[in-house]
Amino acid sequence: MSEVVEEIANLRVLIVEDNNLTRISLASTCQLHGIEVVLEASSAKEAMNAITRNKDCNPNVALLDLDLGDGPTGIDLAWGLRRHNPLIGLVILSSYKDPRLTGRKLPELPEYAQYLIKSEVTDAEILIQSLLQSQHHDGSAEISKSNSHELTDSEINLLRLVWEGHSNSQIGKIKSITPKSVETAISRLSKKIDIEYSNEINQRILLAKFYQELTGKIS
Amino acid sequence: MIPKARFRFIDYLKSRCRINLRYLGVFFLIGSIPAVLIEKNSISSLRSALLWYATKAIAVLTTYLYWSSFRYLLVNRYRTKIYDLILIGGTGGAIGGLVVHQLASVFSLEHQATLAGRIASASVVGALWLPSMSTANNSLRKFKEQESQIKARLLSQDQLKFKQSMVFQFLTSSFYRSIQQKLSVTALEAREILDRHLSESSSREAVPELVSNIATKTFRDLSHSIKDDMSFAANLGEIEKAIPFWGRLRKFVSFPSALRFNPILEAFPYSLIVSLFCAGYISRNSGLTLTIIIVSVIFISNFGVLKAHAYLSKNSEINLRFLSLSSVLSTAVIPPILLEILDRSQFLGLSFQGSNYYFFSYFILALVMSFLGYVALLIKITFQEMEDSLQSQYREGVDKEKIVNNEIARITSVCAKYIHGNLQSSLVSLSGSLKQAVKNGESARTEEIIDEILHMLQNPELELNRNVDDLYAEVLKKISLWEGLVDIHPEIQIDEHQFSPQTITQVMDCVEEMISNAVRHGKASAIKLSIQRTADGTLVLICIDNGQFDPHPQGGLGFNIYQEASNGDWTISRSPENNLTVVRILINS
Repeated sequence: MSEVVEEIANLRVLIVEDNNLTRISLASTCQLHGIEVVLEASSAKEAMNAITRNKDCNPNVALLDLDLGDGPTGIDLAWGLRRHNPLIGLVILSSYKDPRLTGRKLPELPEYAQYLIKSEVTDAEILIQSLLQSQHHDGSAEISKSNSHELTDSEINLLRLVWEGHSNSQIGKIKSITPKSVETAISRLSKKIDIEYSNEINQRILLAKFYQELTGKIS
Repeated sequence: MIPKARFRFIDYLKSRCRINLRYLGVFFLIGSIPAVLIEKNSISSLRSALLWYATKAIAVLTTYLYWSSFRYLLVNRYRTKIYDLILIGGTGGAIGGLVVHQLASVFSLEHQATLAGRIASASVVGALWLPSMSTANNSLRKFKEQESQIKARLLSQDQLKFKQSMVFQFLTSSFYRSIQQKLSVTALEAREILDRHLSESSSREAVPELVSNIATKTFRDLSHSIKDDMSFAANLGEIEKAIPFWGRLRKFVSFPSALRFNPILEAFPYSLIVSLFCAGYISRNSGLTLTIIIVSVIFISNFGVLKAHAYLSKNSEINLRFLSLSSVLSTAVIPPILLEILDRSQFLGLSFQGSNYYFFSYFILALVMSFLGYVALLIKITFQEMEDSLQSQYREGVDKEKIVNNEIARITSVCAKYIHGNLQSSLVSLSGSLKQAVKNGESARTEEIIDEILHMLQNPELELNRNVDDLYAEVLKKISLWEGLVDIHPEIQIDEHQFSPQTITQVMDCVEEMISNAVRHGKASAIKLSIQRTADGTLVLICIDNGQFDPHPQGGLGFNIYQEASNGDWTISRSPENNLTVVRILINS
């Protein structure tokens, strides 16, 4: 028990989150549990500048939000931090159950990085456990156990386009296929995620709802 | 696939009888006047006059029925193949001619019998020629259908004017300003409520909760209201597209060529000439040389007419070349040759001893046909011009719609990011700090936070006011986001040119994509980014990075962005000497 306490006390955390409220909450949670927060930053640029220019700022684990607004994402920053310090532990925090749902073509997670879904962090213990594991380089990045894993990149992309409210012909234009093919792909996708066609339900709304669930916008 | 023709005469009569009778009368009366004048000396008795009229009526009826039935087959209900038409026409003409001829022969009316035979054969000629006009009518009908569909989509003139002014307002940024005003008004109202609470000591305790409410409720409602405005604006793109189209359509509708297409008006002069030709005495031989000359003249003039008609009827599913050729042959070549053969062989005792009418009637026919051909050609040119013009208007509309939609998307994104990302989250965060300060009894800190909140509500559009009109500054800002992760060396030479928001957005999207691709997929550590504006106004974006190069890159969103911004004028390559990846994009500014 004392070993764990000691390990927690040795953690020096960098928190990068663009949402002020979330960042404050994360920092408070860490500090409340005796974890030193060496830096709070709202962007990749801020974090990298502080680390490269200030030698006293030497985190051994980074808690990074996946979506940092315009520019680099948390995963881009993770790769940058790893280049700077190959031993740094990395925890990516996101509302998306799968990074592919962001709609951006993101690189793989760096080795031993942890992927935490915000809605699943119901307890500070989960967060601390991930920070410790990442710092120990225990296990590999485990993205999601949700059913988004079974979907292909193309299906996730289609799901996102439906959620954004595009019509079949608009989706067809974006994906350079015919509206008929879009219709077929949507019905195949619906079948895959157990949304059966019926006159009583609106298939597109259920698909959008499914996407929202995956992205953590609703639970 | 063309369905097989199923011509039912009773259907045809049901659908056509009302119009047929009227025009049939006109045909008969006008067509018979010159014939009567020509033949007045031959009509010696009441019986011969009645018989003459009877044969004439049968001939005219036959002609008209052929024409109408072909038109019916082609346009109204059935589609058929041209050889079916020729078969029907040829058979009908032959049977009709023989029946009339036999009737006349029974009554020992040699002259009338000859006349009936020729009228019948000429009616076949007319019937074969006229379908090409029907196909022209078919084109017009299709166009009118299209026109009514577009009309149905459009709103009334008043509404259109209103929407047009809205589009104008939007394009001149009034719309954008109205969003800012909404934001200011909302913030002002929120500030007044906050001031009221602050001025009364009893309600000061509720201030932190109030700030939280302002952030989560008041500004959320504002977001929804702006979103509604955006949806409205998005629809304006469609209206913008429709406005020029509508104007051109109105012009076209009032254009007299629509009338000139009327097959009745076009068919009438032709039928008149055919009647004249048939009614005239072609009872004497005009000679082989003269016949060949006449045939040549008619062949050439008719060919022009039919070619023009073929152009006009380009939407038809009929083989128009075959139609033209067969019509020319049947109109200009077959009858004279047939007459010559009949005359020389003395078939059925017919005699064609020379007559000037033969020459004159064909000559007039040639003139009229040439004139009709000229008119048809004129119509064709006008029609083509009109169609080209409409299409170019449509393309312009689509381009404008794209600009409008891009602008709407940009404003939506800016507003959403600003309200959610800056205002709401800052206010939520400040309300949390305020609660904490009030709870801990830190009065100085409490006042400080309240001041900060008031300042924020006083200038809610501080960041939003910043116009994206400086490409240089925007590129540097974009690059700075990647500071620390990759070493970027920018070289920007764009003078002081004022770029449109659309161009800036395109360049920014490309820059973002070039940098993120180099970092994410190439694992580059250094990037040289060059943006130059050439003398002809083209922006040349070159991104050179030291990352890994995928010789078979998978096309994705990034490539689509390059493709769209540059209209396909972009390249990605690898320099083998120094292992650098080079992306080059040309954007027309």
